[in-house]
Amino acid sequence: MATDDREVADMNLVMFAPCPRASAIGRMAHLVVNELCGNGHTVVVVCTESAESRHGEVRDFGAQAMHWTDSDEVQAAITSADAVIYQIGDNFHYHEGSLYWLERQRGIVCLHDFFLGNLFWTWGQSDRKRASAVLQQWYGDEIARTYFAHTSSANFIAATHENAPMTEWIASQASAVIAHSGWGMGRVLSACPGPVRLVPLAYEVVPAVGSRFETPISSVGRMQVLTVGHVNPNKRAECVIRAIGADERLREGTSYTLAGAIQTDMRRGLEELANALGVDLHVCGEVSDQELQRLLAGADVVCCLRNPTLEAASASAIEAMLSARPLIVENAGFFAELPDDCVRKIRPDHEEADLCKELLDLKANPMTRKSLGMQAQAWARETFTAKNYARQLTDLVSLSQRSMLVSETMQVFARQLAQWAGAESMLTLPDTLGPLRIFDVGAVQDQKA
Amino acid sequence: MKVLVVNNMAPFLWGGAEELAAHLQRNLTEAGHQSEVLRIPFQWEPATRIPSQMLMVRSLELWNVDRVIALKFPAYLIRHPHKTLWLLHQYRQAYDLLESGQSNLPENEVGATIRNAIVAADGEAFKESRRIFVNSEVTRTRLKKFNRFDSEVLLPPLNDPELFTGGAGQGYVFAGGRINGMKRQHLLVEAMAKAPPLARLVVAGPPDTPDDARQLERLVEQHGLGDRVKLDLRFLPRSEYAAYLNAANAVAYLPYDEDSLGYVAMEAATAGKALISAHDSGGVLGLVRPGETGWVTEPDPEPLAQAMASACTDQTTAARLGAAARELWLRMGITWPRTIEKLLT
Amino acid sequence: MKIALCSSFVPFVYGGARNIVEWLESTLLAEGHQVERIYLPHVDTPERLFTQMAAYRWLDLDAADRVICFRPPAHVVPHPNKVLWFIHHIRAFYDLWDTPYRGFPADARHCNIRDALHDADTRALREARHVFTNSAVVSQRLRDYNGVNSEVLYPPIFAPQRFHCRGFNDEVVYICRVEHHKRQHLLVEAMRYTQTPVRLRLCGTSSRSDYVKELFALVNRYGLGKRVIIEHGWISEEQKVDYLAECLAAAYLPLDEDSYGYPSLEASHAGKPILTTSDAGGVLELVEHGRNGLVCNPRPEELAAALDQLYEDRHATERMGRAARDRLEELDINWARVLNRLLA
Repeated sequence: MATDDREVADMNLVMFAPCPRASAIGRMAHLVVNELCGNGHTVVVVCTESAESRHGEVRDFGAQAMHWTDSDEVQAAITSADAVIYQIGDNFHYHEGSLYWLERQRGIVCLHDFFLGNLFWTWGQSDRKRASAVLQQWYGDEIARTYFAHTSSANFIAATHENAPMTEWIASQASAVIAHSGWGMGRVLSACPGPVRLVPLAYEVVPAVGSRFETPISSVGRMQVLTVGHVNPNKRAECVIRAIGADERLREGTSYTLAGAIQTDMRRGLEELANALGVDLHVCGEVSDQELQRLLAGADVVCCLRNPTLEAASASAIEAMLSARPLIVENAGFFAELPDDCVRKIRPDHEEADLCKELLDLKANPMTRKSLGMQAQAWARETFTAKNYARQLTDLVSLSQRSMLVSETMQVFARQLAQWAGAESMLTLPDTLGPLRIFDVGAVQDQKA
Repeated sequence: MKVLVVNNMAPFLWGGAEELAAHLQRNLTEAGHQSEVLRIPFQWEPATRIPSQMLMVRSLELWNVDRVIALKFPAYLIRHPHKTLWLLHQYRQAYDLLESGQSNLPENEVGATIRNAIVAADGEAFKESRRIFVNSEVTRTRLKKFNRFDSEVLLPPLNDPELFTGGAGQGYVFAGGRINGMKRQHLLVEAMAKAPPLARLVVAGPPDTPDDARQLERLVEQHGLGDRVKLDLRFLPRSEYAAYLNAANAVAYLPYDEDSLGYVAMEAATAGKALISAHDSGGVLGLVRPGETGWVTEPDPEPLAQAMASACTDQTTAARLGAAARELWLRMGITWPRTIEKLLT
Repeated sequence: MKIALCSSFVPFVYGGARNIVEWLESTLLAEGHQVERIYLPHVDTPERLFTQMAAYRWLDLDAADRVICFRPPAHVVPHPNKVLWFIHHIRAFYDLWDTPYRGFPADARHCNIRDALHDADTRALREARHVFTNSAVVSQRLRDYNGVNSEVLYPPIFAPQRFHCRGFNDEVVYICRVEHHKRQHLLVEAMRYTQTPVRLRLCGTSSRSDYVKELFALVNRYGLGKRVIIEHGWISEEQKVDYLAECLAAAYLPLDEDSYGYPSLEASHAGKPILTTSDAGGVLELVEHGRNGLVCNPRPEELAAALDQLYEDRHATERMGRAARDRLEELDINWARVLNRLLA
């Protein structure tokens, strides 16, 4: 969308984000912070991971940083800021600090997941009564009653991802929201009191590493299929194994690598299945950034499947595209929004069959793999830029500050009416409110037409 | 000093309050001040527009103004550190007219909220004003009753007193001013039917409607009063009006229950003319004391006929009462210089 | 028609902004219309911009058939038949933003106020049935900042037939407010360099006495007392008509003004050429060098040469004076056209 060409004054911003190196959201936030600082703004970072999760390497944002539990410091930073931004995803251990401060200080929420069930569930454990009240407010008594009663994670997701995704819970606390794809926007729009924007995620251009990017793709050797990320049922690893196992050509000519944290039970189960079907499976467990780059470089195809689709946007998919890797995705959610000439899409209700077909096609056509990968890379480079994200973010800061200006004006009137024997309701009379529509600040996308 | 007079405006309509504001401005200028009139459009129908217009006035910002003199609701809601009220009008539909069922405020929650807001806003405006003056005793009483605020009565002076020089009466009673049912000039005509032949009456002024004119014309015809009653029913230039009044024996002014003294009565007193009025005429009785400055009767043709007969035939009494009326009026000290002095204290 | 004329005003400050409204009022009344003039106060404080704008939005002028709005924020008054004769923006937030005249810091908050104002203004402007401006300069600004097209409608002066020509003496007159940005000092300085007996008369009131003192000081310093007359104070309309009727030429050289200014118009009606400078702004929409006046660089020496030229070449001066009247016709500056356009 067209951005505002008017000059933007230098801003003081506070960015709430997870600081552990492993956090993809943190990685993205880092890119944006760099861009913002490069544009002349001042950014203070507040690390939002739970104290308990603060093990392992912590990211250096190249800006002043503090932990969300340092109340005085955080408060001081907020007070002197022009705007406060919260990077929020569906993981309590990474985003506890954002939940805490969002309640106390309204700000712009960058929503990485439309489904926030996991975040909410864990948060709700410390105060069930309060959590139930939230559920009741947004979804009614029935859901409030049954929400915490599910026996397994799979059941929980199945039962709540469509009817009670908790998107509204966070959107309603924001002064404005940036979402990274459109499919879950409805709930955001209905709950957010301020402007909402759709902005593609920021990614850095992944430097080309490894031989497979540069040298001609050979048809010798097994086709390397890769899936990245925490291995849970939602990522459909089992489905990929079955699809490969279903055709002799794939069994003989394909290797499947899983790079990401995996539970012992899950690992055992998948390895047993692969054995039984004669599929060449490599389970890596959690890998370092460097190792991940090496694996990506060596992959012929990346399978980035999600069923059900929970994320707002998929970091893994974007990284794969930026690395010029041919990508197979489900035709749902964020993935459905990817251009048809950049990725291969399978039907969620015909996963195995479609997957098998796509893998065979890609195995047989190395030139197709190359062109698909290049196309995806070109498109992703143009779209998922920190430059665009930072610009949209500062625009939104201005936009939401202008919303604040309008609210301030309305508050002056509300206060005066309140002094007149509690007549605030007169503000909503059509004769009062109607003429003030010229002050409306654009909702989704600035309407300058 | 830079004195801003603040009044309402009903677009394209011009009435007594607008005249008053204009004369106030003119006299302030004559007294050596700089003065302008800020006229703020106010439309009270439908009542749901009232809150936004109250907010409108409250949101206006004044600069380069030393003093504000505000006259009506919602104009007097305007903010200024040195604001004086000369209350011509509150929003009566929130007060006495509400009580008598003649309000445009709807009988529901919204109407109640608007009413309460008006009362509260009035209170706020009164509280932040340096002085509160009112234009009549009736207004003062209402202000005390409904809003519990004290105020001082400051009657609006005549705008052109120099015209009313008086002089010897030519033997008629003069009834000037607007012609309509409330002003009850028809009672005077009916009274003439019962009065002795020497009694004469001149009725001169603009009729509100053609029917008001016809009513008087019919009465004159009906009672065969053509040679004793002169009807000059139009808007009169001031000099002609003053000529009629100056040559009268007495001036009759008997409206039904009016707030104020009435310009006609003030003009008569200025000219030293005896006054004729009725018991239920309201504010004008402040000038008409029976036996002292004029006659006050029941609003009926017969007693009125007697008073008119006396006025026309007994020149001495008429002159005496007229002189006393003038004395009383002068003692009231209702002049523009004094009014301005009070408004600017 | 019942026509409401709506503008913002500052109590006890009179002048151009009011003249345009009041002269239009007289003209409309003479045509038999019913006219109501609505002036509401306004102060340009950034923190109070939107509450005041809301106040104007709540104005109920349904009683009028048509509303004509002038000075901001009067343009936001709602009415189905709204016509704007747009004089200027709240300039600190527009063309004066990047100048020392802004008067407040360009921090995030003020940038937001500016952007919000632009958007609200644009919406209000779009509500109008027609948008007219008083000069090409203002029309350009409406296009640049608000993306709104407008028609230039030059404001005439009141009863222009009063102005006439009785002859050409040796005096150039500058009749307007005496203020630094009107640059009377440039003309006084120019009188140091003139070679002919041409004389200068400055007339007008001033809001600041120090500038007037400065002018007197200049006259004294350079011994110009016999050739420069400074009449500081209010000048009557009759007096103005007389001076213009007799003078050699009129001068009008404000710094970058939006419109041509009433003084230029008065001089033109009196059939006199106008002396102005290249940086006078809207004046140049009226004055063309050599045609109905002289345009030179804003330097005393060049102004002096122009003054001498006016004095010496009488034929040219008189010719340019006649052309000044023609120019008015060419630009169609008259009340008939104004009424025609405003009531269309």
